[in-house]
Amino acid sequence: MPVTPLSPNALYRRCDPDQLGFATTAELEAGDALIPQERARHTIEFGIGIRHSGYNLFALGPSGTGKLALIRRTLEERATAEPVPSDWCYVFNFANAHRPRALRLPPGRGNTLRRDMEQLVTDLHRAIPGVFESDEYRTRSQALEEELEERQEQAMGALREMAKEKDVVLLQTPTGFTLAPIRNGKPLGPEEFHALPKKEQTRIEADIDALQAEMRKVMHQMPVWKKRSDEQIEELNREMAGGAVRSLIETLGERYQDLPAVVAYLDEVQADVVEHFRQFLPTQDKQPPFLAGWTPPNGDGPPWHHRYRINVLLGHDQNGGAPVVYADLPAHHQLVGRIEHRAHLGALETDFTMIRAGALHEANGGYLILDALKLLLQPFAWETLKRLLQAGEIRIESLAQITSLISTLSLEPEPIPLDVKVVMLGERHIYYLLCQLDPEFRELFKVAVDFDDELVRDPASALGYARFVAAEVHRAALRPFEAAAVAHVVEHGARLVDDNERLTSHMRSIGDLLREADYWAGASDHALVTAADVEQAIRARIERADRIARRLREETTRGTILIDTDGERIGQVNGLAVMALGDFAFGHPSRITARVRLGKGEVIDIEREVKLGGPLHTKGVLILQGFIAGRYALEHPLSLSASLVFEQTYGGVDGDSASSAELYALLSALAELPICQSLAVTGSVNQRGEIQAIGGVNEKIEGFYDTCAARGPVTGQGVLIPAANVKHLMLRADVREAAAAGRFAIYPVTTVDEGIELLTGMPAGTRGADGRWSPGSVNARVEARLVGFSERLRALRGGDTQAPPTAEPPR
Amino acid sequence: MNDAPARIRRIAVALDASPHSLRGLALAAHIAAALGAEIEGVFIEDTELLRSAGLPFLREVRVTTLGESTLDAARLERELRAGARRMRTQLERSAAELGIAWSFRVWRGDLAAEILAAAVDAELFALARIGRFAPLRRPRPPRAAGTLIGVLVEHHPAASRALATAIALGRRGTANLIVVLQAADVDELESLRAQTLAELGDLGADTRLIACDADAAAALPAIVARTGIDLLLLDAASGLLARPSLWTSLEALDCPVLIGR
Repeated sequence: MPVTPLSPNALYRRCDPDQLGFATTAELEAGDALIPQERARHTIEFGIGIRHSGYNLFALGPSGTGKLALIRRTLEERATAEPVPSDWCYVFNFANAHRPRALRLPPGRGNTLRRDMEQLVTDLHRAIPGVFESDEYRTRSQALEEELEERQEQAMGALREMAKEKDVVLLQTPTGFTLAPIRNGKPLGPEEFHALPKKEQTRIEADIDALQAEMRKVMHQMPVWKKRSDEQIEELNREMAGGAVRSLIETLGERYQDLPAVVAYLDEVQADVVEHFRQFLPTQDKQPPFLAGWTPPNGDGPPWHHRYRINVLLGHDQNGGAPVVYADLPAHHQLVGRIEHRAHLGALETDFTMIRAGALHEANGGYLILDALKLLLQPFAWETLKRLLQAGEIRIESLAQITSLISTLSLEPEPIPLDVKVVMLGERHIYYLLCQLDPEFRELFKVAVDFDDELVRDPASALGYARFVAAEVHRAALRPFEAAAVAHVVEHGARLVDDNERLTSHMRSIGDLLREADYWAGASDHALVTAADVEQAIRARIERADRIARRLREETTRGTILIDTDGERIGQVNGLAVMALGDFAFGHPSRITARVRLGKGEVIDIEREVKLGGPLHTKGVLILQGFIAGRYALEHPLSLSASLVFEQTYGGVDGDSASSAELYALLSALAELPICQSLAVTGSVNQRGEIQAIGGVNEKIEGFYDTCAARGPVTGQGVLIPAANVKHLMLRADVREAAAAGRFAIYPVTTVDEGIELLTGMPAGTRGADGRWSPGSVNARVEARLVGFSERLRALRGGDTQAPPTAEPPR
Repeated sequence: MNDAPARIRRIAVALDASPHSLRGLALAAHIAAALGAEIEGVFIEDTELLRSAGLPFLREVRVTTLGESTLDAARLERELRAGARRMRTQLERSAAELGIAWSFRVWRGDLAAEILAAAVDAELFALARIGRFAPLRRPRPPRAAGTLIGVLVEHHPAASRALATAIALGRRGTANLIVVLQAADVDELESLRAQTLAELGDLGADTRLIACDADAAAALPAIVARTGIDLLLLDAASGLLARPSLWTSLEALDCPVLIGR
């Protein structure tokens, strides 16, 4: 039976606005703006419900399908009912300043502890100077000082008395003491001394020697007494400081009796404050000198006013539920946190108060959502995430530390236990690459959430679209959409996936269409968004992107690109190609020609020979070679040499959707039958001559229609498409109108024979019981030509070996 | 008791690089700033000590290192010069901080007998135990509440000069005052008290008046120790300074004195 053009109804599947059940989207409840992804939803629920190690999730699917929205909503619904995670604080490590300690507190108590410690420090600044200004301290410290001085004076006084008995005086020099003989209360000079009798001089010298020995003994005792006195004063200082500190810290400790870690920390604070009580005295010059005037160096610790601070790394609201965090910039330091530095006297300093939380801290006890591509693009971020998930703890390290770029002493904060469910979002190819290339990936991300690109088109999914439109209208404050406008959106959703039985789940594209339609409604002063506004948005979007398509059509019309849309040609057919430029794809006819001659049974694909043909295209050509050999040259050697080419293509050609067109061109050349140039062809072919479905059928048909329309009124042109592609048809209104008017036809073909009959107007023919093709048919002509080639070749080889076979002149 | 106080143009302070003289310098500098006077540092070199240095068998034991060496006169002079330079620097710094004029000189003489002659041109002379009379005991720390100045008021005409100076300091808020009234009997004491209160005027309410019997040398040290007086203001005509040894009085007082002329 001859193939008949498709009816207009088959070219487009309408969505009936009346079946939607509303007049405008204002009647619909604004839902969650999610296009249903039931399979993905079930997988997410499984993934977040299973609480074992490694059951993190990877949501794979094209960008814009609503992965983040669905996952975030699902996680937030669950997280609300989950317990609030602990607060985490970093505090000073009194034993090792470089390794700040982590304190875990019940939610909400981190900030309470911080405020309490700030108040404690304020109180200490008041209490400690108070005790050192007290009468008790002054009295006791002065008593100790008096004791030392009395002891020293007694010793020196006794020495002075001993000296006096022997007419010797104890003199103070600029740096010490000496003993000098006196007469009449005045020290003797050298002349006076030498005027004394020798015996007297000897006696004085002996006396002074003896007294100097005694003085030496006394003065050697003095540092010992001083040291003992200093120790007693220091003991008194500690006692006084301890008295001031104890009551304050004990009072504070009572509030944290339920938290042994905090109580232990407060004990350390108490010991440290007593050790360093001088830091709480107002200023150095106001300190009583009996405090020895010596301040211990700060060492590697933080500034003193930071030492007792609480760095609340994470403080939670007691009623907040588990956290759901989306890390929009998953750099290494954004994930694990960082240690900030301050510039001081030309150097960079840091301490535990400058430790900052990362996304993993914020999500600890809850959920962390990451974009896989962003994560992988950040240096060391992926490796760090894996390492922390495997270790089950967050260790804050800088990139410089990891890579050993610097080896200066820095902080090593105590690691914090990590309990987080990570959800990564990414394109499918990223998931498959990670599976293939990273053995640890499968261990850590055991749950793959595969988002569908398409939905089955049925009333339920159409209603889902309508709810999505209503939610977007509400969220983006758009004009309500009429039911007809929603129906057109549904139809466009089908067109986007090139399938009238499916709808796209690419929410971003639909959302963009809604906003643009709203814009055009506004431009037309419409209170509601109409179907015409939606159509205007679609058309405007195409117009914004179709510069290249227009140029191609113009050049075709001007004859620069040779395309015939009427008449007949032997060995020449209009193929159809799709070009994708960004988000915009369009079809355009391309002339395919075939030349045949006597040869060695090869079909030369010129695209492949010049390396412009892709593997799929080459495959298609080899298939049609197999088809010809299998159908026509069963008992004869295939003595054909044919060449096929896409004329005027200067870039690569791939895909097998033109293989049927190439076969028609080849058959035309072999049968020497002209092909009708008002028709264009798309479809791949198998070795049995069956026409197979191809992609981009709508763009291809519209591309040929536009080329014909650009040359004048469309009258009798058409396209041969695989019958399997009929369900994909969602053609433009002008194409449908031309088809309805009989000016343009779409022929669904299932076999090569159907196609060649349409193209040549000749019957394809069938092979009879005698093995011969119907006389005069296309197939009979092809086979006869091939047999002719074979016999000619045999004749050439058997008759005269001296002369090489000569090829038939190309036609 | 009604002599008008002479304007204080110069305050001299005896120095020897010991902590006590530094404390005296600090007190004197603040008083000079309060009175708008110049401060004059007088570095004292005791000739008696230098005389002893010629004896070859004398040895000096150093306080800090406990090292011993012979008492070499040349070295002793170098060390005294070094001490003088240090005190000059300290004086310069204190004067710059307080914005007062200053001068510095070295006086060499018999510390025991002639110390009061070291500063004859100054209206006030601050003197602490220095040189070979310096105590082992460290000076008392300054009190946070401000300097406490005691002034000895005796029953003779010149006594009011010291009181007038003390009142001037009290009015400038530089010091809190304690007036020690030295009287031979009750009548004399009451007379002194009335005159003193009259001169104190509105300062009288904030000033302690303490009675002292005629033998001030015996009673004053106890008063100074009990009240914590930082500096005792005496008139040059005070009987306390007329005793055979000024240093014996200073040793007993255990605080610097400011002698007014």
